[in-house]
Amino acid sequence: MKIGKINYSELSTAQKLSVKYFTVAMVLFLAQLIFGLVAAWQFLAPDFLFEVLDFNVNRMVHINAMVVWMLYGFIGAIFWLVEDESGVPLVGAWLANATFYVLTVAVTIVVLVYLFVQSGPGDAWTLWLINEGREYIEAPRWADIGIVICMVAFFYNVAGTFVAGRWSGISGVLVLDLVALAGLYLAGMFYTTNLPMDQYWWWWVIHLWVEATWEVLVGCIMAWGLIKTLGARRRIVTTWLYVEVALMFGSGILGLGHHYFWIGTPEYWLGIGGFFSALEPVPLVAMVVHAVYDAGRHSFRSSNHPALAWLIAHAFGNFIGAGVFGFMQTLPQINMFTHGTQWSSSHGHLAFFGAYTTIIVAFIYLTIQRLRGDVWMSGDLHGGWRWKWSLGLLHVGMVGMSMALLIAGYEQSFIERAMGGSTWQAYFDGQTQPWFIQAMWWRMIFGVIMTVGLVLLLVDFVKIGAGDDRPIRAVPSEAIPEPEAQSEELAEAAAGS
Amino acid sequence: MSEPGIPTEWWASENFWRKCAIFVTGFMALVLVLLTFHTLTVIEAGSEAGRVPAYSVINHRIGYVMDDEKRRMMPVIGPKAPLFGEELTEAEAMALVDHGKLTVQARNCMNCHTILGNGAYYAPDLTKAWLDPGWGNEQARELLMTMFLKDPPTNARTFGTGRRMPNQELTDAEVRAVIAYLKWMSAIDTNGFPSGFKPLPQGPLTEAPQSQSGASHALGTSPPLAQPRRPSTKSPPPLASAPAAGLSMRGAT
Amino acid sequence: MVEPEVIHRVAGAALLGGVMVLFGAGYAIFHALAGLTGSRGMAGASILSYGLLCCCAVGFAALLQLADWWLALMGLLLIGYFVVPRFIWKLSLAVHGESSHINNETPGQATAKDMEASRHE
Repeated sequence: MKIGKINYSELSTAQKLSVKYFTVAMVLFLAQLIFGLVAAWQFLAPDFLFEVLDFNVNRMVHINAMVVWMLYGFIGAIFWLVEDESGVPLVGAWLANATFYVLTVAVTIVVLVYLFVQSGPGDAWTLWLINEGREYIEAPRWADIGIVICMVAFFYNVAGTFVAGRWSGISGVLVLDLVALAGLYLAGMFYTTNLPMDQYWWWWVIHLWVEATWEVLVGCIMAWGLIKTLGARRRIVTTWLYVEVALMFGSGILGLGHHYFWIGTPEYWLGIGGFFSALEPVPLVAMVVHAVYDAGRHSFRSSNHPALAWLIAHAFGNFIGAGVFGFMQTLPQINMFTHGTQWSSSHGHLAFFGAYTTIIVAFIYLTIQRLRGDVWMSGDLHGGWRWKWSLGLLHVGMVGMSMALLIAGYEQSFIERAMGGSTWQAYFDGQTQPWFIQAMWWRMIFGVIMTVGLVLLLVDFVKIGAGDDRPIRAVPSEAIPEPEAQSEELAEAAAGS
Repeated sequence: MSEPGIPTEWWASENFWRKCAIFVTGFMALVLVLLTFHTLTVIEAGSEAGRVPAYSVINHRIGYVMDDEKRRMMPVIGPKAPLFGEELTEAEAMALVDHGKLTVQARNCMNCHTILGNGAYYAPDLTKAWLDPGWGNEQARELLMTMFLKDPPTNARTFGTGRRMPNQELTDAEVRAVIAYLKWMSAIDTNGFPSGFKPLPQGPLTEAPQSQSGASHALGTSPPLAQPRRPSTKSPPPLASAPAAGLSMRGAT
Repeated sequence: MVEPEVIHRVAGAALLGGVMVLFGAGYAIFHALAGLTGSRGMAGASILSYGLLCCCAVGFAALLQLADWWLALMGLLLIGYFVVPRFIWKLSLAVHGESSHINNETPGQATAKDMEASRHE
């Protein structure tokens, strides 16, 4: 390993795959922001690209790029940790490589069809070949099947590696979570005439991914990251992972009910959904206690400052975006007036960013450190302004955008929902209010700020650590030597590799 | 897995929390599955529960009124008012609504509009599109909807936003199907969402009893739709305010 | 049409709900800091946060005119916000092998000493 140089050829197969997945993820992240900007501009200038690239196409690419890049980010992170965690080389490396290319080609085709074909006649063929027309999971059925096949292959790689090597608490949770993740996708893969039935299952995919299985996946990735970067003890980290699973699934699974308030499902969902989703912030608050405890007990001498900063951003972002913004409109009494307005959009933007973007960016910084031959990434970095500014700009952009959307949402629920009784006239009355229009301008401005931040982040990914010959700061272990046999094995494995 | 060196309370042990995680996840998943079984029977189109109407509801006038007992707004199925003047069997109606839903998905409507409040926020919600006062009155509605859907940019009323709906190049059959789908959608009981919505002026929602038998006959498996489903509904559809609708959802379970 | 007053109440409740969760976090953070440093000020801030949380909750329930099930839910939330962070604190100590009673006798000093010890190890 040459410090400060790209050591791609010295990475293991699985780590090389991570780098590939992360690269595509970042391209898609950029695409997400560009299409988001176009869609945001269409709010202000509706004739822009009218009947060329209409709002629905831009918005579809905007949200699909997000879902896919986040999945790519998770897959990349899992490939990065699987060998270390199992202690053996990746099982089925050839298949894993093939899967990456198949998946990426499929994603490219889907996006090209979205952009150039856009829609089709109202028959089953369109759903199979062009677009399913269901928010977030618009990918046509052929791609659905392809995604499931790729996921099965991915599952084989991951589970197979753990079977060949050794299991741990983290890998156990991870593998079970992947089963749930893939299984839930099947719930979104059929067509029915019955709209409430359609939306019922559709939420199984969206909610149980985003508010349950993704959260746990992030928990697994973080658990591994904490052991590696902060030298946290495995037993403790694993215990907390279980606590988190219990709390997250305990509130999150039935929290699904908050999507069943208004889609034709029975009234008891108002009570169940309101109840469990009101409880959802409690685990987030509780986890704050543990974070403070940990921070107080261990002086943070991190070996990777950017990654740690993004991890802290994750803790705050998840809490504010999902916890605070979520609770604000989770009870049906409030949700009646905010559901389907820019409130939802405000919450969605902040929660996705806070919970998932942050953690994936943090993980990519860990990856780059290794790629650069375990280079120094603590204080006093060459060009350290870049990661700080990109972090700042991305956050200013995101928070500003969410606040603008919140104001627009408030105005909307006031003018459109309450005063106007939700008619079309009332909808447009709301959309033409000066507050709304100003909020849309601010959203646009903050969106541009965010995009600048992202470009800077991507530049930093390429440049950070380049030409620096200082080696990584030694990880401060948690002071107490690990008595577990398991961790000795790990140490041996690490030394061996 | 427990470390011999460090004593931990049983309630703080890895083992205990692993079991907790498994139990909690399993239990919640089980509850969700049981609730799902129940919900799926309730939201069957035309089921006894009456939340999701049979597709042949498009043969009837549909209202949206305040239900005093539930203290929220509810759809009401009124007397016969067949869509495009053509009465359909349940199977025909289902085929038509199905074509409409396929078209709405194929044209990616949900990434501008919201449907039952879900989707994008660039264009109005479609939940009560059939009942929207913007169509003027009952007599003009079908014609106006057809004209609009055939050529949205020309017929757009953007209310000062400049936001026009792009031409979706819908065929005549697709237009009819989409309208049927929207009519059926407006009769779904959405627990009072959207609140305070005032439908366009329509004829009465109750009718003389003699025509009832025929109607329920034609509908086959569906509940007798010819009479208002809700006991406490009043006609004509009230334009009165819906004070605090949705704020009083007490004891919802 | 809904009276403007209603939507103001709804919006006010939404705001209070958000602030309530923030106070929940404040209570949790100050509670943890009190445990770490033994500072009475932190303990006071923690109780103050919880008090404000309760105020928000009362305002929230009043604005939305909550009753029955929903009122019970608010009660449960108040209990949850109070108990769960405390439990997690105890769990933090216990999982890390620190017996939880250390903290109960003159909070802080023992813990601070304990921190020193763990630094030196």
